[in-house]
Amino acid sequence: MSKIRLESEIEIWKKEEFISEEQAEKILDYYKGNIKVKKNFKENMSSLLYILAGVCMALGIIAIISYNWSYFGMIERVIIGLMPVVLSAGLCIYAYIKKSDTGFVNFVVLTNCGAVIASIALIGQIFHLNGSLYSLLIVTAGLIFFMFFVFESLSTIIIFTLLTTVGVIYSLEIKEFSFILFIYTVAILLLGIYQGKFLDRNFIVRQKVSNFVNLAVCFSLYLLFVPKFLENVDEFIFLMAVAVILLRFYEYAMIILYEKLEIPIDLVILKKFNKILIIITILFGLFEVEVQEFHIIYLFVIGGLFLSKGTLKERMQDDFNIFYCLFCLFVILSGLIAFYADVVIITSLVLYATKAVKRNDYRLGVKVFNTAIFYIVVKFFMSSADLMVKAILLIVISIILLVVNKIFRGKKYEK
Amino acid sequence: MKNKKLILLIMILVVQILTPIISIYSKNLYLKDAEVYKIAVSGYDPYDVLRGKYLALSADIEFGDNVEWEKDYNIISKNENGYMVVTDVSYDEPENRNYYQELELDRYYITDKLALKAEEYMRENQDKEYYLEVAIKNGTYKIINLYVDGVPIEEVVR
Repeated sequence: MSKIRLESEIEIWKKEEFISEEQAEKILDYYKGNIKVKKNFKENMSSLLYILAGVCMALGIIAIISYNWSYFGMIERVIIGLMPVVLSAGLCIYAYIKKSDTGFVNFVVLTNCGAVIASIALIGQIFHLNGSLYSLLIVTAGLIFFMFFVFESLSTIIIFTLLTTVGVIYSLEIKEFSFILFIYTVAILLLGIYQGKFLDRNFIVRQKVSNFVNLAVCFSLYLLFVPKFLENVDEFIFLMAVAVILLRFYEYAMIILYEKLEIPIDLVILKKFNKILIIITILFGLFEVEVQEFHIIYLFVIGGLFLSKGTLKERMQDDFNIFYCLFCLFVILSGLIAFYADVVIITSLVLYATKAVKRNDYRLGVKVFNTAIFYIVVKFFMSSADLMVKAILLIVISIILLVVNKIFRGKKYEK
Repeated sequence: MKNKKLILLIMILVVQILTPIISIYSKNLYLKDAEVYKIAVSGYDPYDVLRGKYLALSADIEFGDNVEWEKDYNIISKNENGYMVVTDVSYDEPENRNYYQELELDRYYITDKLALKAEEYMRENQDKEYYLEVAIKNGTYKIINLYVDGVPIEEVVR
C-alpha cells in the first residue's frame, strides 16, 4: 500500500472511530520507518546461535579442505571453488521463498557478497589468473546490486556503496576509472528511481525537503574530499575522518534546529550516510595502518561513534550493528592490524559486559557472550595451530552451539 | 510481482555462478594459441590471511639493449633459452607484435603445506634455475606454473 493511500485509509479509520488519534499516529510512524518493532529476543538469539554454529562449521570444513587441498584434482578444486557461491544461491532462494525477516535477509545478503568474492578469488588462485582487488570489488558490487530489487534490503546498498567506493579508489590510476564511475552513478540513479516508486522506504528518497537538503550536504562534503585522495591516500583518510566529525556537528545542528525551532526535520538519510562514511573511514584506516597518523584517525572514528547522540548501545543497534560486526570480522580476518583489532574489540566487549552487569541486562550479556565466542573462534581459526586440530575443534564447537540452541529454543524465556 | 522477483533472483544467482566459470573459459580460450615465455624468479613465503598461502616472487625480466624501462606497451620476444626479453617499448599499441602492459608476477598460489616446503627448498637450493611459465597474448596473460630446473615446484617439494 502506498503511503498516500495508507494516510487516507487511516483518516477514514479515525473518522469511523476504529482507531484512536494516538494509534493512527503510531501506525503512520511505523510505516514511515520512525518506529522499529522490537524483534522477539528469543528468535533473534536463536538465529544468532545458528549463525555462530554455521560460522564454526564452515571454518571447520574450510580447515579440512585446506588440509587435503594438495590431494584434490583440478575438477574437485573447481567444484570446491564454486561451492561458496552455489551454497549462497541456495540460501538466497530459501530466504526468498520463506519470506525471512530483515535480520536473516541481511545475513543472506552479506553471505552472498562474501561467497561471490570467495568463489572468484578461489577460482583465480586455482587457475593462476591475474586480477586486481579493484576489479574483484567492482565485479562483486555489480553481481550483488540487483539483490536489492529482490530483497529490498538496505544492507545490499550499503555493501554496494562500500565495494564500489573501495574499488573506485583502488582503480584511480586505471584508464577505466571514468567508466566505473559512470556505472556507479547509473546504479545510484537506478536506485533513486526505484526508491522513488517505493516512498515508504527511506534510503534515497523520502518526500521531506530536509532529507533532500541533508543528502545534498552529505554528497557535497563527500565530493569535496574525494578528489583529494587522487594525490595522497593518507590525506584522503584524514579528510574522510574530518568529514565524519563535520557531519556529526551538522547532525547536532539539525537536532538543535528540530528541538528549539520545532522545524520538521528528518535525519534518516543524514544518519545513514554518516554510518557509511564511518565504515569507509575505518576500512581505509585499516589499509594504511602502518602510517603513524592513523592512530589519530582511529581515535577520530571511535570518538565519532561516542560523540553521536544517544548511548553507544543505541548507535550500535539495528542495521549498523551488523556492519559493526562485519567490520570486526574484517579486522580479525585481515590481520593487518592485529594489535588494534584486539584492543578495539576486547575494549568494546569489556565495556558492553560491564554495562550488562551494571544494568543486570541479561539480553546484552548474552550478546556479549556470543560476540566473545565468535571472536575467539575466528582468532583460533587464524592461529598457527594444526589445521586438523582446528577443524575438529571448530566442528565440535559448532555441534555444541547447535545443542545449546536446541535447549535454548525449548526453554521458556521469562525476562 | 512475486514471480518476477523470483525470476530476477534466479537470474542474478545464475550470473553469479557463471562469472567465475566464464572467467576461466574466456581466458583459457583466448590464451589457447598464446606464446609461452619463461621468466626467471626468486621467492620467499609470506602469509596473506585474506588470500591464503602463496609464494611471493620477485620476477627478473630481461631487457634488450635499447630498452631502459617499461612503458605502456612492452614488446616481447624470446631468447635462445625461451626466456622473455623486452625488445622494445611504446606508448601506442603495437600491431602484429606480442606485448604485455603490466605483469603481476609477485605471487604464486600454492597449498598451505607446500608453501613452507617450497620456501625452504628455494632458500636451500639457490643455485637451481627457477622460472615461471607465462602464456602471453596481446597484453592478456596467465601464469602456467612455477618450475625448478624444468620440473613443477609442486612435484619437487611434495
